[in-house]
Amino acid sequence: MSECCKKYEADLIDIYYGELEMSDEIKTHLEECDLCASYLKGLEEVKSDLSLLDSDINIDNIVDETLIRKAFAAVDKKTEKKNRFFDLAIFLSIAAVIIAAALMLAYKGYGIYLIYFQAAVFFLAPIGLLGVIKMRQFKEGV
Amino acid sequence: MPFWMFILLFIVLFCQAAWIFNDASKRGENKWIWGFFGLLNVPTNLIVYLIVTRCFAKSIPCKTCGKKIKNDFKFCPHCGDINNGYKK
Repeated sequence: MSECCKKYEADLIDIYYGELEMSDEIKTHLEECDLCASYLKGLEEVKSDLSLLDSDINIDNIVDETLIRKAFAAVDKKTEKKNRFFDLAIFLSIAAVIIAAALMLAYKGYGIYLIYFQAAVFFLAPIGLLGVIKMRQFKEGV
Repeated sequence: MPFWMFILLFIVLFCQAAWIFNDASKRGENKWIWGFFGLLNVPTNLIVYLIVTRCFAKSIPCKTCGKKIKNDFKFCPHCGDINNGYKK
């Protein structure tokens, strides 16, 4: 590169970065000097290549969040089902013991008291329903 | 009252309680209280349970935005996310 071209090289870099306007002198030189013209062309190509790298990486194409969420939900569902099964088994065991005790009472001749109890619950439960509804509405903030 | 009628009554109570317990656990209700409630009487307690849980569904916090939404909502009306605690 000639001394003259070295001078214009610095100007071309400033033009590339937008810090200098293209003057008529530089334009004339570019028309005459192939080296400087190809130098400027090379800078423009680098600029266009760099602009491609500016694009954001689209994570959605790499990681599907829906799939991950579905996988976790499936695992949670399985664990919940397992826990529900164990709780039901415990409840049924306790219920069986209570019923066995009640049957024993009936067998011993206290069945009439169980009937009285059933009748009392039969009439009191609808009354209790109002209280349960009020409590539920209070908890929900209605 | 003949003894076999007591046996029949308690079998029905046992089945009712089991169903209520299972249903309450699916709906996010207090399954233990409702389960033992179902053991007390048939069919009044079952009717009470159905009225309370079907007509006055419980609210649960949305797992995404944390705001209260009804159990029977498929999607959160606040953030639009899927309600993972959705019960039919």
